Amino acid sequence: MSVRPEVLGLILASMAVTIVPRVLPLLGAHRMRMPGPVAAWLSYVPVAVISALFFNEILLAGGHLPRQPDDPHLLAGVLTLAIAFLSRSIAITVIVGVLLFAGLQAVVAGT
Amino acid sequence: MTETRRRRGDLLRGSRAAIPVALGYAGIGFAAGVVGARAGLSPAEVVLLSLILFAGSAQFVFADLYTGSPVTLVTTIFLVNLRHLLYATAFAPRVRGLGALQRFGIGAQLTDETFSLASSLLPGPLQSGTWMIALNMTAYLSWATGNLAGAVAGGAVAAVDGPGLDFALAAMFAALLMMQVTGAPGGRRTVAVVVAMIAATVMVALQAWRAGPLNLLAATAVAATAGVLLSPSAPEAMEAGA
Repeated sequence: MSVRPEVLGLILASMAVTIVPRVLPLLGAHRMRMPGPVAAWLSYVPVAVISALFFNEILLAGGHLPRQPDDPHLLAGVLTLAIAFLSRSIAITVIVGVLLFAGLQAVVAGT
Repeated sequence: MTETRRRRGDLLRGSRAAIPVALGYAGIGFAAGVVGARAGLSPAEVVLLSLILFAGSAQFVFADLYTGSPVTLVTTIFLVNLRHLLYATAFAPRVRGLGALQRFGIGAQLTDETFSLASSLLPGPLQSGTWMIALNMTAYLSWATGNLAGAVAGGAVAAVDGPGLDFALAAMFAALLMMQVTGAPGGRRTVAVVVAMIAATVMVALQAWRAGPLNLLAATAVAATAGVLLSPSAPEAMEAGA
């Protein structure tokens, strides 16, 4: 259970550049005036980010677009989206999604 | 007396609200721990990373890049986490009434998931910080515990491939995407779907062309702008936290 000093240094440096964007807007919150269009724009940030990350994950897992239609990431991704829609539960989606992906990966590897 | 009771109630409600995120984080945290261990980080380093940095994708980036140039690592982490600036700005109206220390604490633990969840659950500005801090802490502790378990397991079963674990992150995003789209108020649901499709298209196109940490911000900016242009003209009273 060792911590290398250089790794700790890198962790602290990473924290420093992470915490500033996280905290700064909240510290200035009481002085912030947000015009309607800006507030509307910000309200679309979560759905845009999550969608971008999800499709990036299932379409570019190998660093390039899938070359086979039975790509496990793509197949499991589409099925997991259906599970998410049906279950409306993060926990169920994550558990079933991971199992599904593992199963598909085994099937594709076995053929 | 009444104040104490109210605070205890907020504490319970906040922790309970975080359960879905905590469950997801345990799984993804486990995956992050395994990835960290396989990249050569010790369990103690993985736990420190999760406790100090507490940023999922940045921790995957860290495991990937920490043996290379420190400048590349820190710059990439900064760019990857720059999206929190948007989250914090969007969340700012909700913490307007809180003290500086609570606003700092809430911001320091802001993640994709806690931000999405709290933004969806809160009807308006926070009256006290307790609910949000309880939500954040529950997610935080679950994440750190998952990281530790993954780091230990990843080191122990290094020869055995852990198929599927790396998919936990994608599954979490699938669930959150559905939460976002189905949670959008009636008239904005179609717009939310279009925004999601634009963000995905721009992101995948940019990533396929040239992968980079700013692609996410670019995709988000384009999609959110399209969302504003397509929005029904009703004022965004709730989002403005008025």
